[in-house]
Amino acid sequence: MPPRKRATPQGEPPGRSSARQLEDILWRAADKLRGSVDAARYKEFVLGLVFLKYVSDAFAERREQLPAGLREDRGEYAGVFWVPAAARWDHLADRAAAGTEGVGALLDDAMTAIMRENRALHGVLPTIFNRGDVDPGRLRELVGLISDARFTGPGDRPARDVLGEVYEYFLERFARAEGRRAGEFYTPSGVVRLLVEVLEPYSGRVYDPCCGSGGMFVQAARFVAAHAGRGRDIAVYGQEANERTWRLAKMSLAIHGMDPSGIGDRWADTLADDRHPELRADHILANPPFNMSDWARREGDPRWRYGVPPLANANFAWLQHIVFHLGERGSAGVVLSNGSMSSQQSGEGEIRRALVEADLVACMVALPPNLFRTTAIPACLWFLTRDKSYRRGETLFIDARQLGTMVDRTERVLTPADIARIAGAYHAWRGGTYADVPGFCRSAGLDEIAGHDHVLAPGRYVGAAAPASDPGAEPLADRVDRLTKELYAHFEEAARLEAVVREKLRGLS
Amino acid sequence: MTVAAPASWPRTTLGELCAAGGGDIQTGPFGSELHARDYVEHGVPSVMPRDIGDNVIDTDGIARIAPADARRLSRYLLAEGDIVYSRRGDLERRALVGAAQAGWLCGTGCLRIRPGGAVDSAYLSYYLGHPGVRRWIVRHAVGATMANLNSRILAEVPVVVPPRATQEAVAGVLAALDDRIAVGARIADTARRLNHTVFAAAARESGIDRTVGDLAAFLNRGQAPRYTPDGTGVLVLNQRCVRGGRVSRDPARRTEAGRVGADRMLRRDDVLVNSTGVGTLGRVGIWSHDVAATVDSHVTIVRVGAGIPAIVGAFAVLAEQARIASLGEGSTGQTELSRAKLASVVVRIPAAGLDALAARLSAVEQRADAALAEARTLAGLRDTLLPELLSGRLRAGDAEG
Repeated sequence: MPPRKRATPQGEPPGRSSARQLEDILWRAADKLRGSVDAARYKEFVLGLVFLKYVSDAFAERREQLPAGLREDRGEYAGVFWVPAAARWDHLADRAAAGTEGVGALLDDAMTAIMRENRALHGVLPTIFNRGDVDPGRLRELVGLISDARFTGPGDRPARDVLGEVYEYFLERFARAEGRRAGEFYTPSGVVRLLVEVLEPYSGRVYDPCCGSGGMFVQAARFVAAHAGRGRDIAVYGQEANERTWRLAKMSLAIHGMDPSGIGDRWADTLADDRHPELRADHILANPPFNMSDWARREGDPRWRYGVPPLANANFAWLQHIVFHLGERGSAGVVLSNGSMSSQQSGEGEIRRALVEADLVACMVALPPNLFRTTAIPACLWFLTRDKSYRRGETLFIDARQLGTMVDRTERVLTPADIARIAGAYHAWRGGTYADVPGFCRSAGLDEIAGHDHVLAPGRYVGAAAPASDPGAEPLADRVDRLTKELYAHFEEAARLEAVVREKLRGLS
Repeated sequence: MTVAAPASWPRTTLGELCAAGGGDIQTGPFGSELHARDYVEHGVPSVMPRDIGDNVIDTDGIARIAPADARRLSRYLLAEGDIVYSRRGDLERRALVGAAQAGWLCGTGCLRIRPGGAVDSAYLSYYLGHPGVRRWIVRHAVGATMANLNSRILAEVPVVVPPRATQEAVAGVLAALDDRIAVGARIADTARRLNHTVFAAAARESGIDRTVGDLAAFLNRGQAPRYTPDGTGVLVLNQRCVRGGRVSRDPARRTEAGRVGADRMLRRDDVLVNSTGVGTLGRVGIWSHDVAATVDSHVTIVRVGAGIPAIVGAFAVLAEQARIASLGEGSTGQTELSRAKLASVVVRIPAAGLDALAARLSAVEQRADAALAEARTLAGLRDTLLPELLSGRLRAGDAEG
């Protein structure tokens, strides 16, 4: 989780807060660059520099452990990226500080040299520092700040962990700064954590077909680490259509100690050009673009086993793509707009029915509004699985619309308690002592779902928690009477006030 | 002179006036005293500049704080007769605090003026709405990027203080107009809720599902307008005009009449659907004005045909507003409502009695529109009278009795 500045500033262990201060210093420094470069590129500048510092620090850490004679032996550097002498941070920082040569060219050359030496980073690092539009003075200042910053945590926390946090923190800050366009590369951390807590990806193949900046993978790896596993117990596979976002994801995986090659050697549109056609994943986590239209559709695509999705909406293309890639015991969690639960248009209702009848839908969660800072579109989660041996023919419906806490006027977050409540209901339903909770969760069978025309909105199944607040509770005829009386009362009040106005205006002189 | 007035009326400053009455001017809490995370869903309303309308406090979407925080911040609470004034952004906003708002918080972006006993609160609130006073405040506001006001500047505002009876008479005239304006808004609101219910009852009894595409004789976005420099030509409505199920003419600009195709000239009971952006996408309104108007490229026109009365079709579409708002497409946030998506929305049309239903809906709508038009006229009258009354050029009947 990227440290949230406002979360609990008092409750943090000492040392963490210095990382936080560091992030603030860096953010302010980076902010100075903003005026001089285009916003999307500016993100690449800062994240590229943090990444460069990371590979260099990781390299230096290994180097220090080696006896002098082996320090230039590439064979000793398995697991870290080889950084050629001219690209090492200390060298760069000294030269930048000396100010005798262009700092932009220095950085571009370093990026190029690292990419040349490391196959996994081919085409990944930004070489955009030596263009006319960036102020070299500001860039030098930023390099200086990153140099001076002590990227070390308390105790034995390796510098690299702190850099990983800094990288993630910046991703979130950029997502906030970019506002509505940021949905492309960032899913709110609470939503990611909820997917992870439900799916429990302890080990195996983890796949995100529209992986953005790779937040799902980072969170999944963290979950494994927190449960005494190691990051290496999972293998990650992803695909991303946007070139810049693809770079961010590659760097993010590397900085978190995961193998970036799973993201593929090129960006590509998943629906048009599936880069992992053979993959059968154990866990799939995804936040596809909502309601995407005019996508690259081929009628005979083997993925459309449950019906050809309409050209006007790719929601059911994503769902079927994900089902296609599920392993025999695999599970998936997908964020989609609410329309996917109830749409009957253009054959979508038929596809949803087929998915239900194939017993692929394990759980539906209706999310509270305002979780996505950038859009008011209400969203839901689909949990799909191939293996429902624990509860055949049943689907768990969770109505979480009342959960979450507003952190300011426009943004709501899911608290750890909210996440635990939802994930807890799911795990209890899968194999514990589960009971329906009116207004919150309910397990429904295929017949009941068919009775609702295969509409999967949890509100239809869980019942009303507070019937008093339901405007539909008042019979329509009574409501017409009441509103008519109310309207007539306003008319009378208007007539009385009109008389007052007439009298007052008559008195003017 | 800020406000021209008879020489016999005493002049003072706002600060002195409040002090004389035992009141004061108090800045709302700073961010360090009330953090963004302190806002809660249910609690004591906190009045921010955006909640302040024209001398009224709008509670729609108002922020709230926990009762414990309200106790902690008790020195910033509002009482009846206070005036809450925005101190940043739109500086000219002010509202008189009524009995219903006593105990609410003067929010972080506001100042609280407590007149005490030296002046009639309602009079003072209208005085602060005088165009000359507003200009004075804008001129004296500080701040490089965002105009900013503090209690010191506000204390310097020159105030004319006529005899108490004159104050009360002036406030009485203006308040009578304001009360009548407010009841117009309530009529419009209740009328609309009644029509929604009448429509829902008819559709429930017997209904046929139709797509918006089937229903529409015309379904298209407007065009990017070329605005006329002199304010002549055809009205061009934008997304801000579509609000609360209705279409307001106020935020619109004008384009050259010759550039608008006949189809894109609005007809009564056309349905307008906001089709881009975050927060506004999916808002639906019914056009009911008899003036020449079109829409810009962010708004879609749905013109009901297919033998269905336009107003019945309009209420059918309006009933699906929540669903339409959920159809924005693109990555989270990059939202856009396509023509095809809108066309695919299924609405329910009552199966029988359409003409009678249309007549009933129209009668109520027209009464509501008349109430809103009246309210606009009354607001214009109030704005014309206000400077005349405050300057003494026009006298309220029972003044200086």
